[in-house]
Amino acid sequence: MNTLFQNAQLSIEELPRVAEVDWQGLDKAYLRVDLIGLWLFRLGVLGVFLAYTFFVEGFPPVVRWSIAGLWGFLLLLTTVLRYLGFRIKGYAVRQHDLMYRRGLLFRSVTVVPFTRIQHSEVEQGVIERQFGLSSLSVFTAGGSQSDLVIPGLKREDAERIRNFLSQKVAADEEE
Amino acid sequence: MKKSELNFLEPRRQAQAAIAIFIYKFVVRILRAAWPILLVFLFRSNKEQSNTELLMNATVVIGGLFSLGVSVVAYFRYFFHLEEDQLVIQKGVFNRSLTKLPFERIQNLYIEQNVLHRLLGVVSLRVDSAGSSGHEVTIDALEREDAEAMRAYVLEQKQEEAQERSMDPAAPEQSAPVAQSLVLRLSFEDLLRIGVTQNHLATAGVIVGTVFGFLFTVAGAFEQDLVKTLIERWPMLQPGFWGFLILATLLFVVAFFLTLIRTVTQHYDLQFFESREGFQLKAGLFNRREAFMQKRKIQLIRWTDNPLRRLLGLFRVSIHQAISGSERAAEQISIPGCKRAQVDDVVHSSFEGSAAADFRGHSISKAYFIWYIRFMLLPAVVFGALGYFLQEPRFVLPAIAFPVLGGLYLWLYQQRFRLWLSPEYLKTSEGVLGRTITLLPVYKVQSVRIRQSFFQRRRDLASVELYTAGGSVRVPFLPLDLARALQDYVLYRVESRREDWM
Repeated sequence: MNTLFQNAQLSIEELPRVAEVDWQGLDKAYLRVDLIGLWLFRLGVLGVFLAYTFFVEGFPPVVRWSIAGLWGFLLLLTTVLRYLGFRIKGYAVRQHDLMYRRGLLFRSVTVVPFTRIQHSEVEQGVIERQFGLSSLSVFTAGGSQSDLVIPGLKREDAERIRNFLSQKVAADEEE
Repeated sequence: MKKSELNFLEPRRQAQAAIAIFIYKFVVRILRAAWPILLVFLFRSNKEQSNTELLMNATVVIGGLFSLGVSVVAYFRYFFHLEEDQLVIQKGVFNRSLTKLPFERIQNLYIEQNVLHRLLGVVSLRVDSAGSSGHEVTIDALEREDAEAMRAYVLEQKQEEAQERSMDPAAPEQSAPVAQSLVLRLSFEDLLRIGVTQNHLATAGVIVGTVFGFLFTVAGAFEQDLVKTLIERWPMLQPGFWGFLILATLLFVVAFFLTLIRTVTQHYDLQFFESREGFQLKAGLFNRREAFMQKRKIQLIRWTDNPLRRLLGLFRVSIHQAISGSERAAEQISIPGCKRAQVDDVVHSSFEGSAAADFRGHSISKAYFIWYIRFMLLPAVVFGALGYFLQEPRFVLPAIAFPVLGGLYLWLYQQRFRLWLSPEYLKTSEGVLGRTITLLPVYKVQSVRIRQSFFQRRRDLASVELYTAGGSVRVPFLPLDLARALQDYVLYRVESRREDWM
């Protein structure tokens, strides 16, 4: 039943399959970058909240500590999910496209063909820099929904892929 | 033509009417930002001013005059011209900026007129380049023939460029006449028909939001509880059955007339032309807008009806091309009040071969219902619990309505969703009350995403999202092997041939 359409002129079976690709995991240090970022942000928010409740007179301590406790519990839960989800995150460069996979509970696989890339950038956040990591952003035309960001690449790797992509894109325009 | 083209090769200013438009824009900006303050200033009870207040007001006035001066100077420092292959704009009062927009990046040029433009007899030219937003350019005031000449020149250059690049031997000859045929023209009667069948509930929602926002801002400015004062003055506004009924009726009537008026002014004297190269749309009573769209740049076409429109056999057709920032979707060409035959005409002449495409239909899984019904059960449980603990029979209704109506909606949506595939085209049909049909050529796709929740993974299902430069299509809950085959095929189709897709 799962032929895509009637009268297919090529055998769907013979197409290269996304599902059979070998995924390249992100650099191990990225897990730490990710978790440090997460903890800094969440603890920062918690700090502001606590400061505020101490500042306001007569804020019921029960409410304060139950919200803080819930926040802390969610932080731990997210940490576990990020930790487990790290193994899922990965990218692959095929002959004609770039792919990225992520998501433990909600998995997604995004594929962008080289011919549809407008431009690409290598970026480095403050925490990433401490670990010598970079992110590769790939932009398509129109809205931003179909753009792709691959975090947790070694600086050299990110540069290499970026150069490869721009060569591909330039070669396309030549022809 | 030749003469006016030459006009653009040297840096030049806009038409002088631009000064008026700059000032107008400035006043609008001020009013929008500071209207609560002005309101308080006009209606306050205490007429005497303290020194600090005087100082503050003086600062505001001086600041205002200063920015007004800046607006005028901005006109004299705004230059634009065309070079061989790009549009160049120099502007800025304090920081000079130089923008160069290569023709190949330009997606489209729109000629627009708001009320002020029409009074001054000029038009504005908006140049849209796909990709990163903020790279968009508007020339505020131009003589109409200049704007048209400029648009024609740029489009012509782009055309030549594209042909040089593709070296397509089958490319049409340049000198063919640009014959346009009128596809659709809306009469006043048509407009009324379209206006009456709009979604008035959406307008009602916007009104409620605006009124609350207004009350909130005004209450903040006057430091008074305005709602309380209003209720004291008009007892009929008091919460209760009759008050609610009166308000609801009033709201609906206002919403009805507002949508009607908006529809008529927005689409007034709408004319929709087709030529071999593309489509042209002219419409609007106060703000007149002209858009031209080349057929080969069209990414996807969508047509929609609703229960009322279905009775009249009317559709709204929107034609999407690459556009900067997805939030501008509203600015695509969109034509209400098309008959079936006109829809077919637009679709088939934009996408060659789509009329004869051999489509195969696919349904989505019933698990769609099973997954989403959970989100309807949650409010039911909450309302049920509230009703039980508070002993309030009023909560029974929503507790039942959510799962029943929501479930019905989900079930119908799942039943009616269809994905249609042919080797060259992809079509989806969705909707419960109305129906939305989206058609796109497979090679226009620029990225494919497969999503799987834990729920879908257990059942070997997946959702597929296909993105083009002009909008996206989402197909939920397909069997996994079908979703993967679709992804593999779309990628194969995009990557195996080089085509001018944008």
